[in-house]
Amino acid sequence: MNQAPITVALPKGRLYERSRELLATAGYRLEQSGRELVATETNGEVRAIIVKNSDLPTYVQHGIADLGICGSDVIYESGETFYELLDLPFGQTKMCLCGRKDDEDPADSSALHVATKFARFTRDYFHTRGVPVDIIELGGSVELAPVLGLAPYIVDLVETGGTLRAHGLEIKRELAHTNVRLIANPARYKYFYSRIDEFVARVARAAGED
Amino acid sequence: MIQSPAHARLALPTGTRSVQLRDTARIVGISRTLAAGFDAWGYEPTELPMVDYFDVYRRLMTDAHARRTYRAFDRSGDLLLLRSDCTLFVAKQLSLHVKRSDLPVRVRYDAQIVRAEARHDIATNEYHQAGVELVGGSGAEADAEVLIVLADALQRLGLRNTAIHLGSRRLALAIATHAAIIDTEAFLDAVAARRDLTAFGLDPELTATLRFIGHEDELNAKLLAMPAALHAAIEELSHIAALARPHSGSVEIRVDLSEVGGHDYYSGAAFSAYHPDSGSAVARGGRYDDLLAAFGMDAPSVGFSIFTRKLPVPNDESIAPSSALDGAVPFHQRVATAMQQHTQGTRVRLS
Repeated sequence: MNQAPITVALPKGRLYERSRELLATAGYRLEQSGRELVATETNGEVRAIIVKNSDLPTYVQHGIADLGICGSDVIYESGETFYELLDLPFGQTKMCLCGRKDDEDPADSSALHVATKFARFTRDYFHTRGVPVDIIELGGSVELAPVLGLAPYIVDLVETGGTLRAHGLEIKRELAHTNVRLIANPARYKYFYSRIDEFVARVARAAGED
Repeated sequence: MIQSPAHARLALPTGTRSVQLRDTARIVGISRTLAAGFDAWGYEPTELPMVDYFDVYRRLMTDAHARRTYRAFDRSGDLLLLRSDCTLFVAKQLSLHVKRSDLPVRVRYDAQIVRAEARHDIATNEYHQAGVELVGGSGAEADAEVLIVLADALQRLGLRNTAIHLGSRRLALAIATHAAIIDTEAFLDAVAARRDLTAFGLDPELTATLRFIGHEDELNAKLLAMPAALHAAIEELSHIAALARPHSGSVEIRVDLSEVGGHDYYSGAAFSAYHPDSGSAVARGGRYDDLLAAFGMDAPSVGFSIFTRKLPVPNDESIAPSSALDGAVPFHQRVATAMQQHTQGTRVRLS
C-alpha cells in the first residue's frame, strides 16, 4: 500500500546542509530542484520542507510537518510542547550573557538591561534566579545594541566568539548549552508512531547514537 | 490594520473567532450527528452554566489550568470562572441535582469553553466540546462503554481512520509510588511528553515501558518482568482494551502508556483520539473516580470530550440551500404554501 511520506521540516541556513547529510547517511536522499522549498526522497518515504529556522516549530506544531530538526533555543522560544526524539551530533553552541570588554560583569543584585532575540529564555533564566531583567527584543544583529548604547548587555548564541570580538564584546557569563534536536508533533507522532520510530532509529544509527 | 475607534468596535477580542455561515452549518451538523449518536447509547442532554465560582474549582485544577482561565468579579466581589472545562462543570451540576439512588447517570453536553493561551492567533482559545459522562459507572465495562461510544461517534462523523490511544494514570502513579517519586506532577508531565525519565530515578526498563504503544498482548507479555505493584493496573488496562476493541469498528484501539490524562482529576483510564488529518488530538477523556466527591457526592465516573472545531470533517455539500417563493405572490398565500411544503419536509423560505 502506498503511504503518504513522513514530512520533516528542515531549517534554512547553517543547519540545513548538516541535516540533509545526516538524512542521506540514514538512507533518505533528498532531491531538491532549484530554489524549491520542498525536497522529496526517491523512495517516497520522506518529504522535506525547508523553512526559516524560527518558523520551524510553528510548522511542526500545526502538523504541517510531522517532524522537524531544530535548535533547542528555537524550541524553547516557541513555548510549544513537542516530543523531543533525538539529540543530533551537530550545532551545539552556548547561550551567553555578553557585554563590552571594558564594562564590569553584571551583579545579580541589580536589574539587568538586556537586548536579545531570545526574550523567553532570557526572562525565564533570570526570573527563576530572582534577577529583575529589562528585555529589549531584537530580530537580529544584537551585537550592535551595546555598541550603540541600546542596552549594556546582550543574550545571544556564541559559537566561535568572532562576531563578539569584532564588536569589542566578550562573554560575561555562559547561561546554557544548546543543541540540535529531532522533534515531533505529538499527535502526528501518536498516529504514525510505528513509521516515525523506524525513521528515528535509522537517523539515530546514522548519528552514531545507536 | 485597526486605525480608529470605529474599526476597533468591529474587531474581535484577541483569541475569539467569528463563525462564518458555512462553518457554522458544519459545526451544527457535527453537533447533531454527535447528539444522535450519544442519544442512541442512552446519554441524556444536560446544560452547563457559563460561569461559576472560581474557588469551587481551583483546588481541582493544576496551576497551569488555573492560569489559562478567564475570571471576572460579580457585583458582590466574588470571583467567577468562565467555563473552562465541561467535565468540571458537569460534575458540580450532577452532584447538586442527582441522588445516589439515580446512579448510574448518563449525560451528554455540547458547549463552548474559553481558555487563555500564552500565544494565540485568532480562534485558538475558544473550544467547542461535545461529550458524554457516565456518572456512577465503575469498572472496566464502564470504561469500555465510553470508548465504544467515542469510536461510534467518530465513525458517524466519517472519521474512520481514527486511532484511540488508551493509557492509565493509575499505572503511571503506581510507577511513581514504586520509584518513590515525590513530584508526581512533574513526573506525569514528563511521561506525557515521552521524555527521558531516568532523571526521576526510574530504571531504563520502566522508562521504556512508559513509552509503550501497541496491543495489550505485547504489554502483558512483559508483565512478569515488571514489579508486582504494577500488575493490577496493567491487567485492568489490558482488560479495558480487550473489552472495547471488538466493538470499535474501523477505529483502532492502541494501548499507550504515555496517555496519563491532562487534568489532575483523572484517576484511572486516560485516552486521546488522533486522526491523520489533524495536528492535535480530536478527543480526550478518562476516568475520574474522586472528582464528584469534591462536590460532596461519591460517584466513580468516566467520560470524554470531542473537540468539535478540530475535527477534520468537511462541509456537508449535500445540504442544498432552501428555495425561495415568488415575492410577487401575496404574503398569506406564500405562508400557506411554505407551511404546506414544510409538512412534506421541503425547506422553503418566504422570499
